[in-house]
Amino acid sequence: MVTNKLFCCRSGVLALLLLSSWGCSREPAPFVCTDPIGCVDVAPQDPLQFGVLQALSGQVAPLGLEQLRGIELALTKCQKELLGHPVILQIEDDGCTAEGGANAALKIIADPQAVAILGSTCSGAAVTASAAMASAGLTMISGNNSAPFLTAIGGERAPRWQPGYFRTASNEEVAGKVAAQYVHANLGVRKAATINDGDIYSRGLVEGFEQEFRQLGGDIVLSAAVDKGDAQMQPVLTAVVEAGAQLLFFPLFQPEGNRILLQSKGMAGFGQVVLMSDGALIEKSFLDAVGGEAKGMYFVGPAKANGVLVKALVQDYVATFKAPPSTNYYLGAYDSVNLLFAAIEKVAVKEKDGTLHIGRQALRDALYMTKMFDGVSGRLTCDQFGDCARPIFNVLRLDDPAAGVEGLQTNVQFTNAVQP
Amino acid sequence: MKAFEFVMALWQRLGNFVKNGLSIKARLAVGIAVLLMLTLTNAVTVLVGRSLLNHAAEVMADNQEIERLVLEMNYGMQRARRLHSDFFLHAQEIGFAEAHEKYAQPSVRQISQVISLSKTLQKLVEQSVVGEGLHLNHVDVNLYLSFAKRFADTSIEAVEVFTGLHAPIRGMEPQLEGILDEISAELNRGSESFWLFMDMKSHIQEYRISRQRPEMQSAFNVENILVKSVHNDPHVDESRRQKLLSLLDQGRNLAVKILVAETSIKSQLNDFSIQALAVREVSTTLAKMAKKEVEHSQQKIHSIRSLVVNIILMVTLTGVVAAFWLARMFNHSVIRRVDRLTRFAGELREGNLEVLIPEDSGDELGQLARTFNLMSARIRGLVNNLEQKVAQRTDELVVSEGRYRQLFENSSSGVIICEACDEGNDFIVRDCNRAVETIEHISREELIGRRVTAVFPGIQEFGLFAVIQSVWKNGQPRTMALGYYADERVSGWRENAVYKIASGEIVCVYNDRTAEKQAEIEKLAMEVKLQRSRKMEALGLLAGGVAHDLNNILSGIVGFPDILLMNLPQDSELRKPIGIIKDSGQRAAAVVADLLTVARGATGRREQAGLNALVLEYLASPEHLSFVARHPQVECVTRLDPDLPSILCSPVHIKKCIMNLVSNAMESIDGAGRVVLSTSLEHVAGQMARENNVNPGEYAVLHVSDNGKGIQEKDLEHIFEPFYSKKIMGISGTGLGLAVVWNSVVDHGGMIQVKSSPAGTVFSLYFPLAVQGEGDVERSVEPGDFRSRGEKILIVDDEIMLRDLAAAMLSSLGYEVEVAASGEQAVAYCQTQPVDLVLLDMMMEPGINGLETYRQLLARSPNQKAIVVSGYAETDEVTAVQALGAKRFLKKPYSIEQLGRVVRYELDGNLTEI
Repeated sequence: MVTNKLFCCRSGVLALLLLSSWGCSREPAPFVCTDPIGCVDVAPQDPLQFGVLQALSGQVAPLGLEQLRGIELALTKCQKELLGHPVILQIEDDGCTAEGGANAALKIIADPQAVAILGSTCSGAAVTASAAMASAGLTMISGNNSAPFLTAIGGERAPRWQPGYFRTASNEEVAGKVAAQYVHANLGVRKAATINDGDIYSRGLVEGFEQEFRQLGGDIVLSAAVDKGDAQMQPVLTAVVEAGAQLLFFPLFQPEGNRILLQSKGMAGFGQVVLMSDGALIEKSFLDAVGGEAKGMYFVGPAKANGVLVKALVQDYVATFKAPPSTNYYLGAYDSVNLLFAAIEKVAVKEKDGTLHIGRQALRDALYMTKMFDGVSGRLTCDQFGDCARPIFNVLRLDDPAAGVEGLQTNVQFTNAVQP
Repeated sequence: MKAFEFVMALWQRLGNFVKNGLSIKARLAVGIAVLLMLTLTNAVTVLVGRSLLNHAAEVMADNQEIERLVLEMNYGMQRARRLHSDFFLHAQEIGFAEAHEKYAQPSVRQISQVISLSKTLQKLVEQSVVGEGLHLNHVDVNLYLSFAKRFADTSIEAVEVFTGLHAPIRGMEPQLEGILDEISAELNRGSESFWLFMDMKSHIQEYRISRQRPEMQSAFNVENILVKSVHNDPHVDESRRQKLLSLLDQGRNLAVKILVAETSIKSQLNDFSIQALAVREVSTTLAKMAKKEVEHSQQKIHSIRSLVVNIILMVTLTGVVAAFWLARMFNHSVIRRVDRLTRFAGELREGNLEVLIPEDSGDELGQLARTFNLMSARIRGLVNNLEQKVAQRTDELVVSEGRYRQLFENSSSGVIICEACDEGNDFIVRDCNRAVETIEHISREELIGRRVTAVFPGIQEFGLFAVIQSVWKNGQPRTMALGYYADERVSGWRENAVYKIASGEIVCVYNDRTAEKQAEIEKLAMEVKLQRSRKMEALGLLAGGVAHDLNNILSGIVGFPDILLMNLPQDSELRKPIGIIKDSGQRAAAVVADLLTVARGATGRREQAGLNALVLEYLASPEHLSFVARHPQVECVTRLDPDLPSILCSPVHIKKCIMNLVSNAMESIDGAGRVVLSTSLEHVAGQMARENNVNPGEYAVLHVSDNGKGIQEKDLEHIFEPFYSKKIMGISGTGLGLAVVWNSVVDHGGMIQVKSSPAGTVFSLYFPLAVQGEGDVERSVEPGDFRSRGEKILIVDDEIMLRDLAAAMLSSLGYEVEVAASGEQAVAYCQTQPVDLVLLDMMMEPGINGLETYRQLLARSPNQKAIVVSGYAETDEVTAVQALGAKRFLKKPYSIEQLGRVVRYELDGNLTEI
């Protein structure tokens, strides 16, 4: 009996040892992706790959370049590493067009290792790019898109909303309203004409403006459009004049915006017409291009961020690029990178060997769940439609073209921001 | 250079290690392992190379397929674009339906094919067999696919938009044109409104040409004025005005839509341009990559082939070197040494045991060489020892062979070795020993090589042949009981043992038991003889005792008549009765003599005599004459062989035999008859000699036949027994006649054959022939020759009558005679008075007998002559006396002649009578 007990004890100890050794030596269970739209698996030493979709050609290129610089500053800050993996960018030029965005997006999403897309510059490119991105399960975050159609209009999902699309730029649905409110209230304009270029951004702003202006009792006497690349603006300007418009709201990009401005000057009947554009032209190259012709011109654009972080970032910008920023929109790009990386750090599953598994839906969800993220452009809280920035817009007036963008941005005529 | 030297030194050390440090088995194992390893290496190289080549070929094929697909995709994409462009270019020219069918639909099909190709390419690239470069560029493939899809979408959309724009009747452009026509129709020509309209229309036309939106915007601007003009035109009634305004509004809306559509088309065309650029870039990359992969695969295949070929060549070369090395090693290590061992073995085989193999290695052959050397040394020792042993054994064998040869040759048993021939139907004699020669009276040379049945024709009848055949067939030794073999040449009793030896030859060992058988016969005869001797001895004892006394008595009866007759005058009447007394005495003496003959044999003096003469002497004797007289009707006929040789015999006894036989023959004849006495020379041999225990040879035969009544069968066996007589005892015979005949003949070394039948009886007496010079016939001397020559004779006899008779006879012959009544007196006398001769009686009582007397006489006078006188035949005492020197014996009763002759012969030293 004693022998049996001893045998049992020994057997038990041996079994425990075997179990413990088995447990100790057991390899961790291999990662199984349960994300509904898939995972990005990054092998050790492999880089984390991000697409960058910006307008890098044409006259909108300065805006795209600023976005690119903001991204680069953010990467520099994190030493171009995330979770121990190097970060590489696939930079594509969307030409600030829908078709360009679509095709550029295709180039990025063609690589299944692409985690997310940083961009785009133009909302028009973002419409097609986001659609392609969304279908591919990626996440896209822009520091510059502001078209309401991309996220939400009137608190409702916008028709071109795509899941996984985020932006740190403000929804310009508010910008049109702000502009309308300002011109109606402060300038006494009751007849206004609008020109869009058919771009979603442009149309979005125009529609926001027209809607708010009409609601304020104003009359939209002309709602015209130009095509990108149109050189002759006299017909449309003639129409503006003949419509009796007191204000021409033309949220266009360069060079159409430039041409509107320049061709309107000296045109009969245009002397009293107030010209107002958008943030796309709040850019050094525009100011440089039009020079003093833009004096007195109004702009509606996102409020400029301020603070220590911004100042430091500006210093970094200058130190890095040996020139001051031509706009502030690089801040949005900078924030977009940090916001995206923070979300990735939250959701990424890192194995001992360094392998990363990033659930695509998880990443989107993490971004949707972002609350009070400290960005340089302000605290970012993403809503269900992907808008993460507070919609604070200022109406600016160019009084001193020599003061440049900085001078323009400081010459705030109106804002929807809550005044302290 | 140093490296080469190092390699060579390493090779040398390796070679030395392999040569000296490894066994042949290990060397062979190493060699075979090396070859096997090289073969395996070759095989693995071929397999790996083949696998790599296959893989590379697959990769190349895939890459070629990719290249082909890329090119096909590019071609398809370009063609789709061209068709798409052609649709836009020719749609209005050839009509939308035809353009759709001719360009749009093929373009869609083409792009669909491109998509399909892209998917195929995508799958192909995703496979692991494609090159790494292409594998990494799967993104481009995905992108290509995406672009293709996008092209398909956008191109269709563009076609739709274009169709919506330009389609006949339903298209916006035709509709706008229609509206413009309606407006034109409604407007009054020459009116302001008309001219405004025309201006508007011209802007629209400009737009249609330039597709520049500002032109349309100008048209819109004019339209705005036109609308005002229509409102204000007084020449236009209200309905027309409303219609015109409506048409203008419709036209503006259509124009706006056309602008949007045109924008869309522009965007799509731009999209196509971007896509084309991107696709071109991607396709170029893919094509380059595929081409590069193909080239890489080709280069890889070439490299693999070169590598495989080089490896195979190197391995093969190494294999050849290894094989050469192995062959050389095998040649050096095995073949040469095996040859050397073979030569060594050959030397050993030739008997050269002094050769040594160099023990140059510690491997198996070295050990074998060492073993060979040890074996050689041992064999040398063994050979030497063996030679010694062989010599010793040879000597021993010679001795043994000699021994066994002697045993064989000297064996008293006959040994015949024979070999079967004619499948066992006969046997050939291969060898025999001397005993066979002796037994069979045939030389070995006559036997060897001859058939058994030829040498021994009676062997089958004898039964031995069947035994030999049985042993030859069964191999079981057999013995054959004692049997009698006889053929024309030899005969005798044989006892055989037959066995088969390993050579298959049959050995017959046999003993000639003839002697034993004869001895047995003789023994039987001896027993008969012994029985008869005992019978005779009893008779002899009886007769001897009687005969001694009778002889003593008869001595006077026989002796004194002679003295009386010598002293009687011739005319005395006493002469006849004295003569009868003498005759009766002599007849009595004869009876006594017969008794003695039967009891002690025919001991008479032997002399050569002719049998014929003896027959004739008998026929002339008084006894026969008296028989003839008594049987006058019996004719007695002689048929004598005149050339019959002499025999050595006691004539008295022979004539006695003749007398007894003739007497019996005559007496067996009742009435007239014939008795035939014939002689012949016959050869007695073989069984007849053995049965009668006589020596083979020539015999003088006396046949006495009669034609009497014959002897009954039951009597034949007893006729020679003493006192067995069918006659009336005392009247016609004494019962001693045939007994005397038998004993006389046998004592003469002869034999008797009796053949009797109712027609008569034949007695045949066989006497051996006398040898030349033996028993010459003593010359007959006259009694006067026995007279004294002055010698002095002492007569010693206890019987006074016999002393006086002897003294009277010797005195009558002139001898000086002295007598002594005992041996003691004779000895005493001779001590003082020498005598020339002592006539000594053997049986004297009391006192010393004749033998002792003679001894004492010899003691005084060693040369003392003496003659032994006895009434018995020769006894042991007589023999002893004769051995002392008294050679002559005189049997009582004796006549004066007999006494005178013996005395004279003894005194004269004549040895004839001895």
